Amino acid sequence: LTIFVIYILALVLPAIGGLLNYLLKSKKAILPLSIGGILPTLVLVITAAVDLQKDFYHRFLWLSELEMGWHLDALSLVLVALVLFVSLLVQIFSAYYMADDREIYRFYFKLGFFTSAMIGLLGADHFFLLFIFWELVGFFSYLLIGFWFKDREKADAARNAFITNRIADLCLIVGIFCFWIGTDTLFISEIFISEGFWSTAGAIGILIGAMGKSAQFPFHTWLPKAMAGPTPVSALIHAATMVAVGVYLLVRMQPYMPNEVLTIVAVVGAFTALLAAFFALTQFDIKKILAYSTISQLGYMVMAVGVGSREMAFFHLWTHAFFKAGLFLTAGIVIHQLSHHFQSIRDPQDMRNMGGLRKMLPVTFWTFTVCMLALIGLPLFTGFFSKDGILIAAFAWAANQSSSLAWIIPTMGLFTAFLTAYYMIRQWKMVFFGMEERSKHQEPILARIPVMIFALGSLWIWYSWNPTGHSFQFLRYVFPDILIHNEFGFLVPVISVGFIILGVFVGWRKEHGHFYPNHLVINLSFNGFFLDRVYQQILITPYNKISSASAFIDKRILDPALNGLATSTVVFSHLLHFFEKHIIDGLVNFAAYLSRTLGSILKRQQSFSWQQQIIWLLLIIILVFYYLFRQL
Amino acid sequence: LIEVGTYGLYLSGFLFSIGLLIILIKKNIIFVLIGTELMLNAANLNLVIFSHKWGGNSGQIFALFAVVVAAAEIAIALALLLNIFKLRGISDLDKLNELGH
Repeated sequence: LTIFVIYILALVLPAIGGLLNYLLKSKKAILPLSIGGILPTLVLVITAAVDLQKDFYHRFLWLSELEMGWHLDALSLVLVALVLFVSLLVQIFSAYYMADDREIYRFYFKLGFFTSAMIGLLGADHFFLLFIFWELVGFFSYLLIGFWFKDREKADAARNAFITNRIADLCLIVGIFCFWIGTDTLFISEIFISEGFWSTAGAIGILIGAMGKSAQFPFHTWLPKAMAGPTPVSALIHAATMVAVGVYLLVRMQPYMPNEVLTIVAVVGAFTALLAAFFALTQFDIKKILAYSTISQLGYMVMAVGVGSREMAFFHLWTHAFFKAGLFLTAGIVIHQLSHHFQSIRDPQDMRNMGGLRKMLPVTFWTFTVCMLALIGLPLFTGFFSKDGILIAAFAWAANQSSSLAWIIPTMGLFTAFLTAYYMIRQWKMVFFGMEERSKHQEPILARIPVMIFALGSLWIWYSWNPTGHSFQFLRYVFPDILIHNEFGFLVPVISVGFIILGVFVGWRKEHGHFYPNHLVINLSFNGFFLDRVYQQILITPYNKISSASAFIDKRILDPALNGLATSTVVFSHLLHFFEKHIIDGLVNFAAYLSRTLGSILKRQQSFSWQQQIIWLLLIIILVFYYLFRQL
Repeated sequence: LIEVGTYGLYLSGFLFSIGLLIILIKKNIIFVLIGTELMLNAANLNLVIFSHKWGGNSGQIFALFAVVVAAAEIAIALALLLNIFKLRGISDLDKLNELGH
């Protein structure tokens, strides 16, 4: 099997599995169909990635003029494998989580198509092809957020996410066109470094597109709302794969971005990381904390791209996919078990209704703990490697900058690590410890396997035998020309672990109240800086006003004008009809009448008897003779 | 001789006029036939007179032939007319205005 065939299989099989699920509608066939499509392709993709000698290119004609192309290198193959892997485990988990939902077949249909679109995006070499899949993943994300669309609030959340992304995507396509003007090619693999206005504008456009998809400030508001979707969707799309697409695009484009734009990227990332961590401090919704934490970690990745370490951005994307998917799935188990065994709980997502789940769900507790420790970045877990890699790169970058303001960025990263430790420990404590001890309600095996695999994937062992030293073997495979910073290789991990332990300590010791005093900082954090209300005021209200104004113009000015035009056309037609009927037709009829009358008058002259005719004949003969012989 | 020719032409003019008048005012087939005979004989008379005037006998011989042919014609015409009268019972030319049935 060639690499391209494997890729096409990976592109098509998840969608076919989803489609078959939707068509067959059989409870027993769900798992065989979804696993049967994805698992073999996952194995094939991994073997192809291991065997990869050189990049694979495939060009094809589209619309007879436009040439499109696929490009598979180590980066895209590894990410295809990641998407397939997470999708596989999430689909297994969904068989547990969505088992009672009558629409589960529609759910698998959407999941399958999402996976295919995601894989298409990772292999696309042409900007237009990339954009098509970019929109497709956004569309399926919309469908999945609004999976329970009968709930008005959830449908609104889906629409919100979709529209926010559309605004950013508009900037993305403008950026693509700018890059096209600047470098005269639409193939990502053919882009070169170029100076000048167009490539800067293109880089900014692409940055904004990536910010929309990866939920960076100020576009981040859609991601916490996207938690309205089923929890497996949050794990697959809004933690592990789709939101990482923005980072993926930045990783691809980073070598071709001007330095000024990269500085903006770093600032956006660091600011988002800190801001989202701040928002996560006070949330009560178990999924909302994870959503804000996702935004914060995506901010780390964007910051890593900005400080020139795209390898570490990719690596954090990779490790984050495991532990954040694990966290979301364990949160899903908690929600599902609570809503099934404690019907009295009104809101099973509210952490104030939890507590003491350690004894009730031991497996969930341990997997959550492992994934959480990976997220806050302690040694022995993958997050330590990737997060400290980013921090080291950020410090090395700041040391090279002329302005001392640059040190703000790595400092923000460090502080975010502290906040992350705090809010995750807070969540851990509120969910699993304290209050009454509940009876044991074991989660089924179908739920246990995926979270355990994700927890295993969050252990250090896969990347280096030494839990404190990263061996870079995996990264060297993906990025052969990786640059390793050693200047801060010892100092930064020590400081960041110190910050993290401090955060853990504070989070553990503090009593987490169920209600907050009316304090400004707490209000700002809990309501996300009131950004939703700000957007409502500065964007949506003026938009609505413009809409109603244009509706007014439409109704009062354009419609009457149009009606007048229509009426005058009818009147004119009647006039024309009258003219036609009475003038043109009249002329024709008159001509006919004239010839008929003349004919009947002249006809009368013909009806002589034969004797009269002979008299005429004689007369004419006499006249002819007279004419001929008049000279004689 | 000159007088003979001149009076002869008067006579033939008179005959022709009579024949023409009969054709024009009479409707009966027999009268029309008589009128045409008169006009024919006026023409024959002209042939004889001009032959006599210019010398040579060809005109008189031609007149003899014309008389013979006219006799044959009149025999055929009378036969036709009699047959028509027998078939249709019509002797009025104005009413004989259709071919066949």
